[in-house]
Amino acid sequence: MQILLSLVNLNKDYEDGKIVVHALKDINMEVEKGEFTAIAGPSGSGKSTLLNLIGCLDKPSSGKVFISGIDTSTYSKKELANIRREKIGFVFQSFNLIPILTAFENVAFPLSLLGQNGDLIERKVKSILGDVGLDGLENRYPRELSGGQQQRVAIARSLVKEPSIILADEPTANLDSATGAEILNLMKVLNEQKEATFIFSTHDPAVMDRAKRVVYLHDGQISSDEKR
Amino acid sequence: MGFIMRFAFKNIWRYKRRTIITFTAISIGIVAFIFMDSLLKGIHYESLRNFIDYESSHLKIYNKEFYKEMSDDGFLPLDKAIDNYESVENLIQSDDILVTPRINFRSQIVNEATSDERPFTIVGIDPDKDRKVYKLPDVIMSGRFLKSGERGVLIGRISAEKLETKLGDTLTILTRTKNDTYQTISVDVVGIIDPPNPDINKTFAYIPLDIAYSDLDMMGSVTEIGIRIKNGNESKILNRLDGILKANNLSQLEVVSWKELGKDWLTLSKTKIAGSYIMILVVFIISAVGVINTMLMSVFERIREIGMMRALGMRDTEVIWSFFFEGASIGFLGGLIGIFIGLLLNLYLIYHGLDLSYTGDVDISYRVMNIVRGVWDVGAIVFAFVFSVIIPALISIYPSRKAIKMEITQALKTA
Repeated sequence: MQILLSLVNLNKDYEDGKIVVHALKDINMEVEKGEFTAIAGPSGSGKSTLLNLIGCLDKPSSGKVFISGIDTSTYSKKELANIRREKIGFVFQSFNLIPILTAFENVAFPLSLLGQNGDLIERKVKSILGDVGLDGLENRYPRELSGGQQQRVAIARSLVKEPSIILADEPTANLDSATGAEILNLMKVLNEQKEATFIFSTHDPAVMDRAKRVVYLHDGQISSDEKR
Repeated sequence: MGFIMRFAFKNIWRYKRRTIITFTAISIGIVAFIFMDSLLKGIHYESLRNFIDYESSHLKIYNKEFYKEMSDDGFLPLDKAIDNYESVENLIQSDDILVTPRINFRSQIVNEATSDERPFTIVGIDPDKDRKVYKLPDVIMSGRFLKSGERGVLIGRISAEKLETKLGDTLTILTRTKNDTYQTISVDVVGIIDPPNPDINKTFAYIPLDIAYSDLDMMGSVTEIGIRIKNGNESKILNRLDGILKANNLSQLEVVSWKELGKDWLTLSKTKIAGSYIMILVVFIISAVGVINTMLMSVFERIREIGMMRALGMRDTEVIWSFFFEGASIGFLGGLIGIFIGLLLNLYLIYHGLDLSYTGDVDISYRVMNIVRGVWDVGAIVFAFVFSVIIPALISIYPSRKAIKMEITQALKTA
C-alpha cells in the first residue's frame, strides 16, 4: 500500500514559563492511503498537538513529517500553507464554517483558494454536497443549519479538493451521540467509497470502536497502535 | 485575487449596523470636505473678483511715495501724485488694456441734516472711463451713476445707512487739498451703490474727477491709474508698462498688480482657508478613527476564522489582501455615498449659493458680502474619493498583520 504519512522521531516541546513541556516524545508512525485512523487518549495526551504537526499547522521541535514523501518539517510558512491548501483537509470540533458564506460557498472556499474555475467548482461542490446528504441545502447559511448539518458541510469542505489526508480534531465532540454517530458513519462511508484517508482524534470509546486503527497516546508517547 | 475581492466585499455586510455607521462617518467626512472646499474656494474666487472689480483693477500705477507718506491724521499726500496724467495715459495706452484715472483722498463726510460725521476714502472718478475698468455702475441700488461736472456723490449702502443719508441729501466733504489747505466740498447724493466688496460698501464714496481736480487743486494730476487687462498676460503687460515708465524718466511711478495690492488680505484669507482645512482635517480624522475602530473590531472578532482560513491554506498575504479590500470596499461605498450627497449639496451651493450679505457689518476678512457660490473642483472631489478608499484600506493592514502573526493553533483556540 502507498504510504501517505510518515512521522519520524517526532518531538514537540513547549515552553510554559521556565518549564519545558514535552508534548510529544519520539513519535514514529506511518499511515497508508485509505486508512481510517483514530488518535485516542486522555486530555493533554498530545492528540491535538500531533494532528497540528501532521496538518502542518505547527512545526516539530525535532523529527520529520513526510506527507506523500515530502519532508514538511523544513518548509517555510508559505510552503506549509501551500501543502495545507493542496494536500490536507481539516474538520474541526466546532465546525468553523464562515458565517457569511452559504453551505455551497463554504465548501467552494478551498477550491477558490486553489484558483479552480467556476464551472469545475460548481460541479465538484454539488457532487460532494450530495455525497454528504445536503442536497437542496446549498444556499443555506450556517446559522440556518443544525450542528450535524454544519459538520457535514465541514466534511464536504475538507473532502472537496480530494486531499491526501483529512484531519479531524474531535469531530463529534460538539454533537449529540446520535448525530455524532451519523457523522462518523458518513466519514466511514466516504473513507470506503472515495478511499479518503481520515485521521481523527477522539477520547470517546464509541468513536474509537468505529476506527480501523487506533493509536493511543499517553503523556505524548504512543502507548499502543492497534489495527483492526 | 478576484475571489479574495468578492470574499472581502461579502465580509463588509457581516455586521450591517457597524458598516452603516462606518459608511456614515466616511460620508460625513467627504460631504464636509466637498462642501467646505467648494465654499472656501467660492469665497476666495468671489473675493478676488470683488477686489479686482471694485478696488484694485488688474494693475495700478501710482507714485511710489503716495502711500508711504500718509500724514498722522490719515490724509494722503496729494502732492505725491501722477502729474500730467494725460501724457502718461498717452504713453501707456494700447489695445490690450483699458485705463482710468482716479484721485484717492481721505476725508470726513458730514451729513448736514443730522450733523453726523464719518471718515471716508473719496475717489474722484472719470465716469466714462471708470465704468470700463471698475464695475460700480453694475451695483447701483438707487439713483444713478455720476455725471462729469456735477457736484454729486455715489455712496455705499452701508455707509449711507450709518450716515443716515438718502438720495438727494447734501453731504459735506471735509479734506485737505494738494496744497495742504483745508477744503469743504458740498455734494448731493445722486446714487447709492451696493457693491459686494464690504470695504467699498462701508468706507468709500465717489465724486466726479473734474470736481476733485478743481476742489483739490489737482488740475491734471491723479493719484492712481487703474488698468483692466482686456487680453494678454498680466505680468508681461506689467513689465511692458514698467519699461515704458522707466524709458520716459517716470521712475517715481510704479506699476503694481492686484496680487501685490491685495497681499495682506490675500495672506489673511489664505490663512483662514488653511484654518478651515484644519477643521476639515479634524472631521477626516474622526472618520478615520471610526474606520480604524471598525477594522480593528472586524479583524479581532475573526481571529479564529482567520486561523481556520489559514489552516485551509489561505496564505498570509491573501489574508492581508482580504482585509485590505474589505477596508477599501467600505471606503469605496462610504466615499460614493459621500460624493453623491456632497455633489447634491454642491449643486445647491453652485446654483443657489449661500447668502453672506448678513456679514456686511462684520469683518470676515474676505472681500465678500453677497451671495457666494460654490465652485466645481473635480481634482478635490477625486482626491476626497481616493482618500476615502485608500485610508480604510491602509488602516486595515495593521490589524490583519497582527492577526497573521498569531500562530494558527493559537488562533483556532480563541473563542
